[in-house]
Amino acid sequence: MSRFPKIVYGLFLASLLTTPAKAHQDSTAYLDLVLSDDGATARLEVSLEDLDYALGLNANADRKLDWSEVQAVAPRIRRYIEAGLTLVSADADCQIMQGAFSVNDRRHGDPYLVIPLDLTCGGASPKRLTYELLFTHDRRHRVKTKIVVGDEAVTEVLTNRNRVLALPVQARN
Amino acid sequence: MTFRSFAIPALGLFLTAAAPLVGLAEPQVRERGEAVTHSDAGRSGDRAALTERARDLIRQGRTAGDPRLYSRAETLILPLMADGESAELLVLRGTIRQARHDFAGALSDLSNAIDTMPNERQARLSRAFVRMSIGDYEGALSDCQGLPRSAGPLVRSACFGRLISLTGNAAKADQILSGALQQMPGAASGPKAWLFALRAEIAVRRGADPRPHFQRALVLSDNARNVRLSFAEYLVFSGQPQAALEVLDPADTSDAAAVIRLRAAAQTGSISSDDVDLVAMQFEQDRQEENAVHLREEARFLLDVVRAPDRAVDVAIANWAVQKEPEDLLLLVQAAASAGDLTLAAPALAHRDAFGIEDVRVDAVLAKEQDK
Repeated sequence: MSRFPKIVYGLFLASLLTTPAKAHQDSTAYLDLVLSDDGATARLEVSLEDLDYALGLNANADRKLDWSEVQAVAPRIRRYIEAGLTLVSADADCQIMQGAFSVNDRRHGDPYLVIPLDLTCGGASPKRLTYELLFTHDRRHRVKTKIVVGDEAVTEVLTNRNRVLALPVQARN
Repeated sequence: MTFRSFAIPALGLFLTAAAPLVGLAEPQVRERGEAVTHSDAGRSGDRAALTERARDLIRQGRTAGDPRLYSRAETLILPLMADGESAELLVLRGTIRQARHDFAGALSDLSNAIDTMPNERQARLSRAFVRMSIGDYEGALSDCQGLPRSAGPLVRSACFGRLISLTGNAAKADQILSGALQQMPGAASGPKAWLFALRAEIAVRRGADPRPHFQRALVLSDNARNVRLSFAEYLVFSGQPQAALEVLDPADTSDAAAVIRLRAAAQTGSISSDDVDLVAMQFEQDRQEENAVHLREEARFLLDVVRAPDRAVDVAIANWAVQKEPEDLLLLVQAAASAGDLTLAAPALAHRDAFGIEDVRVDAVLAKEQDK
């Protein structure tokens, strides 16, 4: 039984993605990162078309990507994300737990794979983010990163030339 | 010497050389690319395989209008260029830069390619059309003249025909294109589609009926996206919104298609504020990122959908600084007239007068302004 929401499943089963897609902009991923005293939660969204290009998700090469093809390569996607996303605290690498995949189809008409992330960093807040997904396939790829600390939010853009971001210090009460 | 003073002798030379030739070149424009595979061989660094994959991506980029496809091609070829800049790679990067409206960069690459291989026909053809885009008609003429015979008569006719259509003799240009098509009835569909699309563009500017040419181009190109867009642009401009919507590919979510849909919806009174907001947000993002690729679409959006001529004319002026196609001229003149200050279009009108660019749509705007 898929954990994928049925309504989205029904919408995308026939053709999750017909390549080539038609995007307005350069390849863009989105990372919303909510910092806390003892770790962080995050939501990463990566274009399925970008992932298809990088990992070859469309197994039968019919230029149409369906959810079963995404499910079939989910372990590869997870390993790819694990290898390309690093957060560290002052003392330790963060452990990143990936949640159930879903799809957001409301970004530029281009379906995005949504990956919830739960970070544990040795009881501390992460201090540095390194993002290295997709650059080897698209040098103009970027990730728009929204960092939320308490009531404050800032947005930064990481690019091929600027892959590391120092995160705001999480003040302890 | 003005351009027009040597355009006619050049035409004579071209017509002399335009006897039927063999070896038709397939213009890369209008072609449909095949899917790029993700073979391990392609990842291994094999220079020829990577170059071919980049070429495929560029073809797909032309078909789909997706900037990511160009970026992927660029990512493949830049490491190869670090090892040596062949003419072939320079042409590919020049094409990518052209698609990004980096016309100076494109000209640099294409010129370097031509310096290396003077008979590189794709570089010549691409440089001719880049030069036409920025209003350098003398440079374009030299490139059309320099096209090797291997480019084939249709491609050479396209080059000279379009150039002549921009420099004061649209009727003659149409004769050239029509004659070339008659001489080569068995030619490949790609170049023929291209010539019919050019004939359609010329017909629009002359006030003739372009629909038969558009329809032939659609059939020959297997409903190519660019032909659909041009046809839909004509239809929505001439007040046929429903027909415009029917011509567009429903799956085309490019900015150009989105703006045409919104203009059609504005004409039928069925516009959605959510759709307007989404497109406005995308253009705002372009502005923040100093991306000039969509200036024409943004100005048209501001003029016909948002109905904000003061903002539209600013964007149309910025667009004119980048590209000087007839659509850009018309846009700036319309925006300036709507903003109540036709002098804002003075540079575009001076360009039009200097080269004799014919366009009944511009004439109509100017006539209306004179009647006020």
